[in-house]
Amino acid sequence: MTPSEMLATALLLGGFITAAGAYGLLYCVARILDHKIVRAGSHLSYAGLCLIAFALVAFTPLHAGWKVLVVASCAAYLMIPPVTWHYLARLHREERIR
Amino acid sequence: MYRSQRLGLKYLTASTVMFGAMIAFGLLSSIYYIWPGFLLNVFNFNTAKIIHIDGLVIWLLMGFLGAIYWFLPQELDREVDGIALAEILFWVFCAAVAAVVVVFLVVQYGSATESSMWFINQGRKYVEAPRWAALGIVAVMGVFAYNVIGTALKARKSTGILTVLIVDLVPLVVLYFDAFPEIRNMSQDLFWWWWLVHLWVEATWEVLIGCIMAWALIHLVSASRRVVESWLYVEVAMVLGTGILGLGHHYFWIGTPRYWFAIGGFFSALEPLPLLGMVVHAVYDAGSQHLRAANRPAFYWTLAEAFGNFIGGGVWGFMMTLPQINLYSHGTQWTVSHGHFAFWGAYGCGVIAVLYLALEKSRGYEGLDGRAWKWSFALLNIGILGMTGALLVAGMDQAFYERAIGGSTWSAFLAMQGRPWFNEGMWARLAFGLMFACGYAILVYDLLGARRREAAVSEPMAA
Amino acid sequence: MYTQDPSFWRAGAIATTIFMSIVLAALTVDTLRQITPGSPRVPSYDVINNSIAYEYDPARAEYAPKIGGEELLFGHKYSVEEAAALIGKGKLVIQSRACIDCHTFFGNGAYYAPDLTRAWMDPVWTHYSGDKRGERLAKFLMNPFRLGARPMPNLRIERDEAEALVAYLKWMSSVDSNGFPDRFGAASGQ
Repeated sequence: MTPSEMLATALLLGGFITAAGAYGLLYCVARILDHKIVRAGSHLSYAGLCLIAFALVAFTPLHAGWKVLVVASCAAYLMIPPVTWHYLARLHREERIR
Repeated sequence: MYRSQRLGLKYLTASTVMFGAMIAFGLLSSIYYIWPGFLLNVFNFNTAKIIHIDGLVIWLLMGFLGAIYWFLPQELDREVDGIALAEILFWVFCAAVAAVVVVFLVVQYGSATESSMWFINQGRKYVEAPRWAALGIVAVMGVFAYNVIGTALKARKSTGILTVLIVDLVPLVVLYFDAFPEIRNMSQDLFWWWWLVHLWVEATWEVLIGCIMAWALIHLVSASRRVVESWLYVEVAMVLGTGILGLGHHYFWIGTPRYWFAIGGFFSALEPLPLLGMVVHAVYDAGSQHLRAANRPAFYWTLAEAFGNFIGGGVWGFMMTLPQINLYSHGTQWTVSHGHFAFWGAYGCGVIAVLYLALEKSRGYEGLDGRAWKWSFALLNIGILGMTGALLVAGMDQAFYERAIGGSTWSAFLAMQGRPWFNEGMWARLAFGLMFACGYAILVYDLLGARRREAAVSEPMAA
Repeated sequence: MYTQDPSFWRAGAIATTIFMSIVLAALTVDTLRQITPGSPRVPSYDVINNSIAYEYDPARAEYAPKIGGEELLFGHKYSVEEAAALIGKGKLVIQSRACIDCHTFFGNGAYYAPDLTRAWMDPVWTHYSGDKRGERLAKFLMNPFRLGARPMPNLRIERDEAEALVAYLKWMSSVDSNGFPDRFGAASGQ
């Protein structure tokens, strides 16, 4: 790995989690505000996440195992906000019923 | 107010004072980077740094103790068992910290003997305090554990949150025993040292702050106990599920076997997942409250905790954790950047949230607001972001030139320290550190309640 | 749905923690065995009687320590016990002066001063061989001269402490750190 590749890869990795966080945040805000633009923002963030994942797989010298992990993480990060949200919403709903 | 809560307030006060000491020695430490030979042989960098990083551990630990002594009696509707002993130990703790700092300031080093280890400086990062003081901390923690467990036993009941806390206390206290040994083999020394550091800040402390935040949410937004407890279990499962073997991300380069690359890298790469869940949880709570709470600073600091933890720990950590990158980022200012932001997000923000909660309840206010906390919030958070960014630039420059190109020799290191971006990063770090210090000053001013809190009285639930 | 029941997650938390802890314990037993002095990864303390280099190993595609023939330190051939005692004292020097709060060891510590993992074979010292190198290093530690913009303090290190510290650095440089630091000395054409 050349020094430049090292920095570029690291920045992509940081950007990967940032995009995941942006997606998570905007997904939640979209559910609260029900706003078209915010929802579009969450979709864009997730698209960004996939784009960064693609760049990590196609253009960086990371070993194969880590590339598989990045792709699998894409799927995991897709699910975490909706699954967590539904879980919390259901918890609160059941609590109100009690 | 229960006696335990009064003790909690004492611990929170001591915590705030130590926070200030940490900042002062942090500012001092940063000067050495921009002024070569500063205080050489009078007060060297390592002593300043020791007080800075040990101050970090102490202010956070005191914050945790303060928070738990505050919440515990309310949790079980009874006074805490053994509280008189705990009150004495508080003063012992403060005296011990003061004595250790004075010896660091005045004596600084001993010769290579066991008595230096017992009375002056043990010289292992974060646990430099001499053995006599480490024994003192064991005593304080031991009494604390007795307070918590004893009260539950006397009450003949426990709650979900309390049970998680009690179970967490056992490894937390046991891990501290690594503060004592002097291990000849550096690989073995670092192996066990990382059990203490990682399994504290990336495992047991995460659970601890999770419990504290659960209590805070109950008291702050009247969150349902069942909801916060359910969430706490999810959090614990995910944090420990990733964090216990994530310990391996410290075992890449210390002489330990190569399988740690795969194990440590893999589990460490999963560590951001629970942190994202916490962000979702925080936004959910914020949304269901319509971004309002009676105690606005406590609410916003709780939000800051979730985001800071995710960005400082998750984003920064993920940048550095894969072995191929870590080979070059290891032991550089990049590490410092991550460390500052992660500690702040994961623990600093949480303790400050508790400070405001305790402030509100102890003064008998109905809610809390004002202008000062907003200034403090802005300056502290922008300050830490600025420091983190400055250190990131310096650290990436260092990873690039010293590690990847220069091969980490002495001359590569020294050449690196003179590079323009590195130097500018060090100056920027100091500037933002001063901003952070201003934020701290306003925080103290706000907590002392120098001005009558008219807003708190006249501005209850609604906006 | 069972995932809505907090008890499910409590059980999950307990099971996960226990499982991960058991795996960690097992790996710990193996790792400790592999880093015991005398193992392939961590040489016995009397390696200080040998020459130690750190070079690129094509078979491993990374930098690795290379232990050579006899190259004594301070004109003395140390037995394993003597070396262990000397290096033990060296560790006390490192701790009593809090070296790790300026320097890094295997990249761990503070970042104000250079990493010391391969200090023994740093290009600053390698034009001295064997015994002379030990002497020069010991003299430096007792009275550090200015090497650059970041002066090292005088930590009142006595002669016997300096020898112990040099022995420590020499032994430590022989530990297999999986190629950290990379490209050591490559830039200076070593």
